[in-house]
Parts: sequence; C-alpha cells; structure tokens
Amino acid sequence: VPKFRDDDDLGVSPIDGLPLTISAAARGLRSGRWTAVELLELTHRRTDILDPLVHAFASQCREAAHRAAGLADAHFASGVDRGPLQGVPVAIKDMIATADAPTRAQSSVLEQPFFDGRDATVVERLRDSGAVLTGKSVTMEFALGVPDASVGQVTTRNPFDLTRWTGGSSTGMGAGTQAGLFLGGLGTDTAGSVRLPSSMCGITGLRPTLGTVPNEGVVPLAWSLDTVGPMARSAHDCALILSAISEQKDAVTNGLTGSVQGLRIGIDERMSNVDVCHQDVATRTDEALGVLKGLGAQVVPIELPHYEELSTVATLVMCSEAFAYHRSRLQSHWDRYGAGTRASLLLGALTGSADYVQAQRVRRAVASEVADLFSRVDVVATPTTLAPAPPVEGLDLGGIVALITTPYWSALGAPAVSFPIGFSSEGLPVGLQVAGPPFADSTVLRVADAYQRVTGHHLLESPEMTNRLAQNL
Amino acid sequence: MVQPPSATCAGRLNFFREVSDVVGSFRGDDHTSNDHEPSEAIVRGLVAAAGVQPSEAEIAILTEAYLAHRAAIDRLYRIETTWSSTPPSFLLPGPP
Repeated sequence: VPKFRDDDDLGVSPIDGLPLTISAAARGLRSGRWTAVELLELTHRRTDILDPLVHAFASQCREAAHRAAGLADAHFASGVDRGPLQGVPVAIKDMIATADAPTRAQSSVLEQPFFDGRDATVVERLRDSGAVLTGKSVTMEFALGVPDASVGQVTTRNPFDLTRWTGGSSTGMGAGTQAGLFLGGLGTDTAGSVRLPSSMCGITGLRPTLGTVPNEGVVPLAWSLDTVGPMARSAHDCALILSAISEQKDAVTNGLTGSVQGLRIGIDERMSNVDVCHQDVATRTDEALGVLKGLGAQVVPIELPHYEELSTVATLVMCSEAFAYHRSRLQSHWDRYGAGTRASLLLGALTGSADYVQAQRVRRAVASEVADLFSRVDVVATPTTLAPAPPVEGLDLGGIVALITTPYWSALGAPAVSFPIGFSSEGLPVGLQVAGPPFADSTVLRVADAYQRVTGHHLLESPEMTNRLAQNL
Repeated sequence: MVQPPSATCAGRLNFFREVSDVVGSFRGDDHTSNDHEPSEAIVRGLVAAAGVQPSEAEIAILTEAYLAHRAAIDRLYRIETTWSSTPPSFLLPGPP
C-alpha cells in the first residue's frame, strides 16, 4: 500500500473545512477529523453552490457515492485500509467508462451503453483502492475541438474567472478540482488534455509515460497518443492516484524525496522569453526556475530537436487516428458533431496514408534525438501554455493550439507534469510543464513536489469561488 | 486582457491558423474566398472519398486551408536526412 505523507500541511479550506488535497483528506480520515460520508457531503455542498457556475459535472452518481463512502467508513472502523485514496471523493472524465454513470464524451452519437456499461480498467483500480466516485466530469466533445453551444455542448468555466476558459479537453476535471467539487481524479491526455486544464485552473496534472496506464474502456481519440492521467491539487496527490491506476505502483510515490539537488533542468529559451510568451508567464517561469535552483537544481540551456515538426506530427497523428475512429459516424451523423470537432476530424481526411506513416517515422527519429538530449539533462521545463486562460467568448481552436507546448511530449510518449507556479496580473493561474524521458514519471513528479513543498500556489483557492461559498453557506 | 504571444513558431502556427479558419467557417464566420481551383478539386475528392458531406462553406474554407496543411506535412519529409532506414513507430516508447 503506498504511503501518504504525514508531514503534509493539512491544507484545509478556511471557508467550509474541506481538505484541499488528497493527502490532507487521508490524514483527516484516519485521525477521525472527518468520516468519508462527511467528506462526501462537504463536496456535495460545494457542488450544489458552485457547479451551476463552473459546469464541471457531466453527471453525478450521489447514491452510489454515498454507498462507497459508507463502505469506506465501515472499512476504517474494522481496520481495513486500502491506501490513501480510501474514502476520498474523486471524479472521472466523461471519456472513461463507469458502471454507475453514463459515458457520453459530450456527444449525442456515441453508442450507448459505451463499453457495455462496465467500468474501465482504471476505474476498477480506483474503486479497488477505496476511492469514492462522485460522477463524470465534462469533456470537450470526444476530447477534441472547442465547445459548440449550437449542438447543445456545455462550456466549463474557469473558477478563477468565469468569463475565461478552463483549457481542455479535461475541462471539468480542471474546474471541479480547483473548486473543490472533488479532490482529484482521472483525465485523459492525447496532445495536452490533462496538462492544459491543470495549468489554466491552477492544479497539478500528469501525462504518464505512454502505455503504463491501461486504456481499456476509454473512448479513443488517437490510439498511439492517448493516455489516462491523474489530476489533483498537488504532485503528491497525482502520485497517489497514479500508484493506484498504473503499472508503476509504489515506485512513483517512493520517488518523491523532496530533493532536486543536482538535478539538471533543460530550458529552451525559445519558449520562455517575452518575445514568445506573455510577460507574466515569462516572469512566473523565471521565478519558478529560481526556486528550483535555490533547491539545488541546475538550469541548462538546450534546444528541443525539431520542435515545430514534432508538434505538427502530434496534431496530424491525432487528427488522422481520430478520423479513422469517427469516419462511419461522421457519414451518418455529420450535423450532430460540433463545428470544431468536425473541423479537426476533417484534417484527418485531408492527410494521406504516406503522410501518416511519415509522421510516425518522424516520431521515432526525433525520439532518438531527444534520448540523446536526456543524456545531458534529467528533465526539460517549459511554460505549459504561452499565455493564461483565454476568454470563453471568441474561443478558437487555432488560437488555443498556438499557445500550447504540450503536443511535443505527447508525440514522444514521454511523461510530463503541469503544476501551478503563480498568477498573472489578472489573477489567472500560470503553469510550468516539466517533462522527462519515458518512465521518468517519478522524476518529473519529484520536481513538482519539491517545488510545492516550499511554495503554496497549489493550495490557493479561487477568490471567486470562496466568495460565492461564503455568500451561500 | 491576456496578450497573445508576440512571436511564435511560425511554421507550426501556419498550420494551426488554417485550422482556426476552418473552425470559424464551420461556425458561420465570414470569410473571403480566393481562387484555389486545384486545391478545391483535391479537397472535394478527398472529402468525397471519405464519404462525409460538409457544407459548401466548409468546403470553401477547407480549400483555403489545404495548401498550408499540405505544406506543413511536406516539411515532415524534408527533415529526413540521416535516418532513411528508420521505421515508423506506432507504439512509443519502447521498454526501458
């Protein structure tokens, strides 16, 4: 059973007493501060007040959650402890199959019941760890495009500013975790869908090494890129979730030593200077690197090989594989897809078979060059996005994609974490992405965890949300 | 207001800017058609082969986007210099 940190600040919200992290909840559940049922009811109260504002839930399963919380309490009472997730309220992105809630991928064309109404393997593993599944969190349609109200799609709002977007496609996981509707859970990441909402909503999210977390029961977007990933407030919480769902198990949490002494962090100046990114993002990035240097890390200038080409490859591969998956449905239900989803999928139709093969060859070739790079540095850090969350009004796919640095690491199958490093002058979260070579999940989480041990950005709640709570409690 | 980046990776952005135009068109935004007859024929052929039926507005914007889309793909062939024997990798990464 993986251990949770007992030296963790409890991180309890002063507004309603909700523990903000899974580690804090785990401590409180074992010390008798809360029962699992009480913890669940705290999140339900927040959900009743805040979800009508942020739209994080696609569906809830309150009765099943109450039964699971009651079972967790019974286990605690009888001395059964299945680990730090026991009794912790979590949510599942609506791309991942669950037995007690529908899986719709924010689509009206996905065949029901998806996955025969069974739990995805990762959901089975979360339940086995004692987690309490509160519901399904909103995704962009099939984890693609941009929300399209003309076909009835929900747009999740950013808890830090309800006029801003959350980042996608795990939109509900980002907003709901930040708002305290649940303490974390599972997103999916193809070209950045865990890391982008984590960055824009001020939480932590990990894209694990490709292939280390099972995809059975997950709606495909692009088979050679897709992975499930944990999202929560802290890197340590992400490690706890990853330990429950992946093949890497305890190695992940055991690697969080708090030390980055001597760690070599590669920095590609092309992505972190003010000529490329928003001034506040550049400033926060410099500050975060300063913190890590203060902890003993070395910053090493590097240049990521074929950055533009590999980012294009990620998109081409994603659109091509997604088009293959959706082709039949598009033929029969064209008008029931959102405009942005159709546009993205059609790019797959414009890509030839040789182009797809060449894109995959570029992946392998660049992976070889990046492997050489990782002989000189241990991890690479970039801003997760080149600017903070954009306004919902006028949201456009091209503008979003131009701001993100995440697809490169997806194409490599590499682990990458995004964690909050402060705020813009407008109070919007800024995230840092730290990526490593395949199977270095523990290393990238260690960097984020070390940073979070000496900073508090990941524990800050949105003033907008706490004000609304204070007015309604 | 969040300021957009003042400069970006230009080649990559050309590709995505076209994606943005396609999305805008699908929403019904205004756009100006240019003379892209060869591209239009290719796009119509590819879309017909795919068996989907976008609107004329969607076809028009796909046509405008096609050349940049094609150019982004062609750049992937140009970077091959020393790894001609490299096979595609459909499952990344390999074992540690």
